[in-house]
Amino acid sequence: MWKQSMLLALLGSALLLTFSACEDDPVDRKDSDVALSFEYEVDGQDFNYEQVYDINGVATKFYAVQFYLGGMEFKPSSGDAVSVSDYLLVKPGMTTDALVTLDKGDYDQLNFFIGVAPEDNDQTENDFTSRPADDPLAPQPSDQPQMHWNWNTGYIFFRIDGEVDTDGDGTPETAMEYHVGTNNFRTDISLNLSKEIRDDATMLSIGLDVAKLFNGLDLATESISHTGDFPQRARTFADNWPAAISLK
Amino acid sequence: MRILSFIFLGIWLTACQPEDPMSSLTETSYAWQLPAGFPAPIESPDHPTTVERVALGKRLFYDAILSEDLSLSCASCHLPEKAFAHDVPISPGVHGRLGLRNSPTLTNVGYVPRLNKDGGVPKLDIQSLVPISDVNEMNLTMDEAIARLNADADYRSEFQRAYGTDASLYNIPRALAAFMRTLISGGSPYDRFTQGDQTALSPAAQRGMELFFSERLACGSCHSGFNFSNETFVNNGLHLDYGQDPGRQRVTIDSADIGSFRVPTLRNVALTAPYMHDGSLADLEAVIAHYNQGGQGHPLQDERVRPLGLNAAEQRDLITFLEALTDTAFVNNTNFR
Repeated sequence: MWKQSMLLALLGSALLLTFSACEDDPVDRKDSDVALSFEYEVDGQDFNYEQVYDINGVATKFYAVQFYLGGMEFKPSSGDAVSVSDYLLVKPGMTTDALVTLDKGDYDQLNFFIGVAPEDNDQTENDFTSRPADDPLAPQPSDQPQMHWNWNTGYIFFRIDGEVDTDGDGTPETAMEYHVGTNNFRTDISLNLSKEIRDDATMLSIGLDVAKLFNGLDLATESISHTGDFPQRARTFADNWPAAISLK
Repeated sequence: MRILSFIFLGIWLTACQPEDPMSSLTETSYAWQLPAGFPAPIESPDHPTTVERVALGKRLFYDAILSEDLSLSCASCHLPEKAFAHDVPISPGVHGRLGLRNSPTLTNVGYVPRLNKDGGVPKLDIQSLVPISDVNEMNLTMDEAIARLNADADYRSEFQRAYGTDASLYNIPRALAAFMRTLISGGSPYDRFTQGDQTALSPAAQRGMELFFSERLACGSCHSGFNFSNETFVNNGLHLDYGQDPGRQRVTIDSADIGSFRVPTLRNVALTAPYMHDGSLADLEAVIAHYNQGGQGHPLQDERVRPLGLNAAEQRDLITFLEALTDTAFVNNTNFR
């Protein structure tokens, strides 16, 4: 009887050990999965494709506002920067999955560029026809705004389509197209992060004020730039990006 | 007994494999037949030329399936008898739409390092996407092109044979490129003359050749090498105002490139009228007159374009030489038709 009791006790202990060993102990993670979200606005107003906005006194409506973001780099207060090789094709309201896992701690800067790096833009090696459909640098579906020029090396870095009011009646009726690309117009952005990343998952929200992209441009008379046809407009437009992007 | 069981198991397993009758990739290396002094054409390492790809590309080249309204093929604007150029200033696209540029010859296009007259496309493998999708040319989305070709059992079979896959954005322009790379021309009277046949060029053509390569004219400083092009971009002073088509500047966004266009090959040039990027010069006489005048004097005009002082006889000799660059075997080659 005593032997049987001992045997049962031993078996019970073994089972307890086995099951308790299978349970995940809660472990404090030392890193964080970081994702990005993008919030568009137009001079303080929420962005949407149905609304007519006043851009420097010109009634303006948007059909597409999208751009390539690449070369992401998170700079910690101490230690080496962490790079992300992925490109994003950013559209209004976009939220990414986790892009990178960062050690928890203090981060000073988030750097990236708007556009596509020359080695990816020149099409000599991995051209856009060689990329899988889920690659942001692959051709967009034909019912979506295209983000590459096939007659010219490379991608449209920033694409804005819409209509503007040129006859002064307050109703947009004239096509507005800013399609800017080529290596000269790749634009570096450096955001002051000043953030302690301490949660297991971190969502960083990046804001874009679309109105600021047109500072110094009169959309009633300068509604088009496909880069090469009006390079000065493209220059002004590209130079406006650093002031238009912010960390929320 | 155990062996028999394995055999039956093997048969059963293979019987369960889904058959793919379309999968028939065949890669027969294309045997280049290069004229003397010609290197091999430019090929991408990931896309070697095969007999199957050339055959598929040839079929696509002559098929109107790649135009929006099924009215135009590549060959509509690149006629074999015109050395794969067109005899109108601007070739009409679908619905009669006109673009800005003259159809170039495809003679030796496999040697061109940067395609289009402004050099905007860095390799032949993707160049045909331009005319297929251009609204003023064939105006077909590549999604539609892929759908059309994959709906055709013969084409699907040919793509499977050439690439091991259905038609795709990757292989449609590459098949066309494979065919275009084979359009090699190096059998003109000039070539026979340089290879020792002293009777191949008439005395007038020989005088024209001497003028062409002389320091006085220096035509050969741009139209140099085996393909009569140094593949640079030059403003030849054709216009004082280049209007809607600034040429290379459109690609580089550099105002110094306004009015610069790629130096074209002169092989088969007598067959490719009208001339210049916009087809604005009707014949070789007009071209020689343009250079003899020294161009229009555009501020960015290349300094080599200057008054030449050619008399009427010299102009005729030059044209006779240019006519001696015609390769009749090339334009009559049934492999290309």
